[in-house]
Amino acid sequence: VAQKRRLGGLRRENDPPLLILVSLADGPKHGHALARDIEAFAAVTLGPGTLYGAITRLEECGLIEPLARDDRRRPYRITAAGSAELARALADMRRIASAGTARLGRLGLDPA
Amino acid sequence: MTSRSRPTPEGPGVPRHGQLLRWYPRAWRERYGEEFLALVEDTLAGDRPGWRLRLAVAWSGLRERGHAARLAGGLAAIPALVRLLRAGRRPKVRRRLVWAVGATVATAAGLAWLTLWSGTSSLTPLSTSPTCVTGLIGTTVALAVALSQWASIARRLDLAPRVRAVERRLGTVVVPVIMVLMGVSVVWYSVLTSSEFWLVWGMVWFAGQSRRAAGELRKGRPG
Repeated sequence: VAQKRRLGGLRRENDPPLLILVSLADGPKHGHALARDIEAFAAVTLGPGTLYGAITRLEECGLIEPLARDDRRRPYRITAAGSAELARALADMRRIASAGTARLGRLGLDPA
Repeated sequence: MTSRSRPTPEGPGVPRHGQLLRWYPRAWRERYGEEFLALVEDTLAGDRPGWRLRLAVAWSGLRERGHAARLAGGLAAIPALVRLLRAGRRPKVRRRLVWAVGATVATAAGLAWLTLWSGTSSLTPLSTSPTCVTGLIGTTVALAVALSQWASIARRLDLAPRVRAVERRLGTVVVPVIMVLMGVSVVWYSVLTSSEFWLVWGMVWFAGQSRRAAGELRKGRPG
């Protein structure tokens, strides 16, 4: 509960912490690589302040961890707790997406 | 832009955009400063930071300061209170603790009652209802007592000087402001009900509390 409060929950698909966890699920990355990857898969541009604010919270919550520094850039990787939290958040989104798709289907609309 | 007196990380290649870090708390700068500046340089790719980036970084830094202050204030005070109670210094704070807990419970009960009660009435009679105003005043007094007692207990805790300074400033400002606002509420109520009694009472309260608040603020101003 405290973790969710500090993160504000992983509720929206454009939440910086959620986007970072998704990006790190593909392997460790440093700040700039994270920003570029998130821009590529989510079309969301995270500025340095937003990105590091989210990194700070995620590290405090034990959802990501720092690796040894490569020059001045420090890569981060997702932890087991981070993977579990990401799986939970994605399951929530899938449930909402399924409900929305089914309801739109009943109206004869295709969300795709 | 000139550099302020606040220290920022220095070293080979680091200080290029180092002034951006001044918005962040020292502990954050020490932990994340260098990698953050590396990200800024990668993002800018040789350009100068524009006003949007500066503004965004300033906002993030201030949020980080707010987060650090909340953690320092809230989390430091609870273990310090437990340590004080365990160290056998309970009699020193027992009476204040009873008052603080009692007033906190009364505030919560008052707010819950006001919320439930306001749901059963329409807004027009509510604004002139003596029950509503009595409830509001009672809850405000309970809140002021709770805050002043918790602040008084906090003064007896072994806290880091910075945490103590933040709590002292909050304690100095919040209670007088609540008391002044209570006077404003009473004057507002007297205007709605055309009550001379409440108008006089409210004005006297407002004047007295404003004077007291000004004195408290002068005393509590950091030197």
